[in-house]
Amino acid sequence: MAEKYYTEALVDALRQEMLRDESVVVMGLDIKPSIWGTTRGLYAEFGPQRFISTPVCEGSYTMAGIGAAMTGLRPVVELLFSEYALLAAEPIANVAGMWGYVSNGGYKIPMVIQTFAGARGHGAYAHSQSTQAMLLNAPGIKMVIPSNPADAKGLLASAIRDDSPVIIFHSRLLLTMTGEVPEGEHLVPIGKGAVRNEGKDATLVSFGNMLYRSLDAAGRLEKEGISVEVIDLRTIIPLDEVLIAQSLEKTNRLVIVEDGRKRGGVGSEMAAVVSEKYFDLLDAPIMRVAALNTAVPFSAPLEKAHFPQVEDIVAAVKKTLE
Amino acid sequence: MIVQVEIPRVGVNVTEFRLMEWDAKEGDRVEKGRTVLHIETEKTQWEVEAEVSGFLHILVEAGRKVPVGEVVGAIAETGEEYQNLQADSGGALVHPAAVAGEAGPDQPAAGADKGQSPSPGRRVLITPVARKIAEEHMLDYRKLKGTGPGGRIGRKDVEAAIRAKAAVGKEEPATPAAYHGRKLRAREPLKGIRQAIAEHMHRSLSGAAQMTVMGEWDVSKIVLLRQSLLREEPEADTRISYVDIMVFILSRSLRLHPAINCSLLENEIKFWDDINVGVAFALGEEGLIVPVVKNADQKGLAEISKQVKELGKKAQERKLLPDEVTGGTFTLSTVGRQSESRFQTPILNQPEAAILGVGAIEDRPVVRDGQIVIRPLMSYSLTYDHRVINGFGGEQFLRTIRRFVENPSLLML
Amino acid sequence: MVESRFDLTKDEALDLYFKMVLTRYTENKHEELWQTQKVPVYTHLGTGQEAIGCGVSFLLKKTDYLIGTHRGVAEVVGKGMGVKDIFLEYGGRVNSISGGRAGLHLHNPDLGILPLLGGLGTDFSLAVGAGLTIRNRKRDNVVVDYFGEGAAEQADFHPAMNMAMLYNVPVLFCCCTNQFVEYHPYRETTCAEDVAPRAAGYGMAWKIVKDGNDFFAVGRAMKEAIAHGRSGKGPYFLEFKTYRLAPHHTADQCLYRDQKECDEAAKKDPLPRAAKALLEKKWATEPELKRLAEKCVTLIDEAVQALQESGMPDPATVMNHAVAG
Repeated sequence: MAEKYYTEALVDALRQEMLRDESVVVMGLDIKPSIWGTTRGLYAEFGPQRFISTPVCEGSYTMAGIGAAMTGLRPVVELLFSEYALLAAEPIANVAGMWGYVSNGGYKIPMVIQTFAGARGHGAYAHSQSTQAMLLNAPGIKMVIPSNPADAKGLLASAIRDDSPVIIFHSRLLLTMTGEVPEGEHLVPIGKGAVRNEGKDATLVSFGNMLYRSLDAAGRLEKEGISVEVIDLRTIIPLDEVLIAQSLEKTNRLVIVEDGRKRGGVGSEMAAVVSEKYFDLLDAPIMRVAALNTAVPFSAPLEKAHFPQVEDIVAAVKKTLE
Repeated sequence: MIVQVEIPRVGVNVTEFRLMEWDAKEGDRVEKGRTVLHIETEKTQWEVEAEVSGFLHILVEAGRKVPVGEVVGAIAETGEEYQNLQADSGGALVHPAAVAGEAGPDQPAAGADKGQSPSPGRRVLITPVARKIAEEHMLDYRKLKGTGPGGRIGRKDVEAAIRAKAAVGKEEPATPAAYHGRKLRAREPLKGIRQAIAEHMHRSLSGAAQMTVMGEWDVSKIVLLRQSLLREEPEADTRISYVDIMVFILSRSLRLHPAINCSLLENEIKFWDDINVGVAFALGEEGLIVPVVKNADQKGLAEISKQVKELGKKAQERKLLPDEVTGGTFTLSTVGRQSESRFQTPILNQPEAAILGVGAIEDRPVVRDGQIVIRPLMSYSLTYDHRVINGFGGEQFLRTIRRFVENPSLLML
Repeated sequence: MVESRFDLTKDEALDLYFKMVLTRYTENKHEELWQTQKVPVYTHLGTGQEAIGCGVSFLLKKTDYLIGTHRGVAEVVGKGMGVKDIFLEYGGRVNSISGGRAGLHLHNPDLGILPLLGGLGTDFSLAVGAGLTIRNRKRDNVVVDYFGEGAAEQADFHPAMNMAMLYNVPVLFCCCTNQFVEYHPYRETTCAEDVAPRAAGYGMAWKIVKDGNDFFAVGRAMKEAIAHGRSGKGPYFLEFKTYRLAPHHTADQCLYRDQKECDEAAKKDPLPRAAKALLEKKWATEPELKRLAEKCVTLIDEAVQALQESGMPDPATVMNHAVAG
């Protein structure tokens, strides 16, 4: 165990997997200087064959990653901004997510796409979004969102070893977070959430950066005698609905917190799944706390109003207790 | 106002009820709160109460099977409204929930509604989990007042109602000293065997139509028979008692009257192949227990006697196995032999259709050929379920027993 | 004509001719199957382009990769894909390679035939990616990325050219300029006459084959390009000029073109020209060519038989190979 930055934990995982399996290659724009720190030192260690610095062509280098994956490599493709992950939306949604199925298992696409999402403060509309919802409808992919350095390492390693396409959204604000990270091989299973705070009056479901606002909200509510269970989903696709249902058996109330926009957001899908399959556990309507359905404004007070704050989460929980 | 009478949604998987009986006739005036309709399924029975006082109008006759939620009648508060109902103009039928005090912005103006769902207008607002809990506890949630937004009934409302309902059953007095004019000296909760018997007795009486006929048999020949059998005790290896003889006689009589050896279960009369005679044993303050002599008609008197003694011993020692107290098809109760009374109204041992209670044998003066003579008489009380056995069947059965009692040699045939 | 070490041998020429004939017959049969409603996939025939289509792939090894087009079956037949597998795929049959899931999106992992994607011009980078695998594994294989001039209009073209040179991957970009981009004469949608010279902007080797219907010319150019690729010299851009005798697809009435122009082009049909050339070189006799044609007919009849005998996939398998479905 060692105290590490979130980005160091990612480098840990990537390095270990690249040493373990020579098919693993890294691809992306600006990975050589490693502006986020997620690929630091790897070029020096592995050279240009395995560390493929790409031109500015997100859609095309993602498609190249798919071609490499179909023919035997295991690429980890970095898309620096989840906004520009949309440039790769067609290859991801229409090729990577499709051809494992269309070829009836003949082709597998064991690739990982890492991108960076959420506010970073004054990022304006092009460097603050969380675009998970835009790819949620794509079939054939898994989607993962870590909330701390240890999970980041474990989920990245699991994603690299997974034979299907996995897209990871890292929260921009968590990149400088520190935490205890196990040394050596550390795998966190994809598809399993974790309860971060136990409670019995309401269930807060969240992921990534928003987990911490949810925990803050739970802390405030505790002082008012309201006991909130906070779940860190860690994986969005496939959804750990069993964990959510187990919590709802106790609390009967669900609030979903995300930093993506509300309309068609990740919370919308979860709310539909819960109301369809676990209707009888509900004692109140499901609440979604999400960003406004607008571009992300630049100025600080506007940006704050755009994204969910702790007060918004507290208010949503209280609404379910009316 | 005209209020619907509809089949309530109670029970989780109940989808329809059979209308057993209207408790009032067409046009009768009924008071609010009183039962107007008995409905049942295989497993449950329910009473539908009048939501308001008024005149009853019946839309669906008894005997029909009707889905849950269906409107089967209506109660018109005024005579004039009742006339309108009769004229089949429908009028403005009101859903019972609106009457129950739900805060509704407007009165519904539904037409005569024989459909499945509650009448348009006021829907009951209830959360999914609250509804599920209500159904599991057979609570009619339409009568509840919800504390959620818009009067929505939530889980805590339902749970509070369930607790209140249970508390009513417990009859716990508010103050220990006084309870409706009576001072309390002591309290003891009903539990264990006492509670089981209490529930069984009550359920039995409320379930069947129990009719008791009473009389006395001249048991002179039985007394003689017994005396001769006592002399053969070493051979029999058991001391034959009157109870043993009665079990023997009953088992042979039941063989001749299969219509007595039956049960009404799941809406059909089940005629049993076995003749299993239960014998009631008193257990002091705790009540009684009824171990069963299985296939009594296949057993000889000595075998019956040994079994009855063994079961009696086990009963006293509280060592009876579950298998030994179940499966009875007829019960003999002889607890009256020690009692002060001569006649009883024995309560059926569900699901059996008949039970015979006998009293002590006492000498009585009787008239024989114009002369007063002293004869030993045994009193009897036969209770039978009038739903499946009628007076004629009961009489025939008693006649057979009497013939065996008055002339035991017939048992040899 | 100056002899070149890249000239086709007799066996190679006969192999190419056989595949061209097989392609023509297969495509005609496909049209017939569509018209008689025996398969639900309509045709985008490659009539008149067989020399190029088969030419770009017939010299490839099993371990080389091919990305083909939606037009006809020349390139996949060239790489050895069975007519049976093609028809089973078009018929959505259970024992097609994809178990009935792909339809017109032909592919064959065993033969290195990479997925035929839906979007025109979206797979240039896919070829580059396959090239990266070859490079990393130090294989002496090549990737043939076969496309039409319209695809080169798509966004992925430029970045793929750039990356191919940047990473020095053995990708042979083979452009078949057949004068039409879907329902348009291609000069209505492309500003430039030729496609291949763009490669010069990337420092990439390139060549134009003016008569793409001359199967010897096509074969020679490909042999040279493949040798270039296998020797680690990086990508190569080839452009083959031809004329699309077929409509864009089966229901297209070709109102946008001059029928006289089409009839003139038909005179340059590669098949009779190839037969004539083989006879002239005495590499085949008339009876041999006849037998070759019969062999093709037999293969096609067998394929149609297999189509008729094969069943449909079980709906219960619809979630097989679904990830997080």
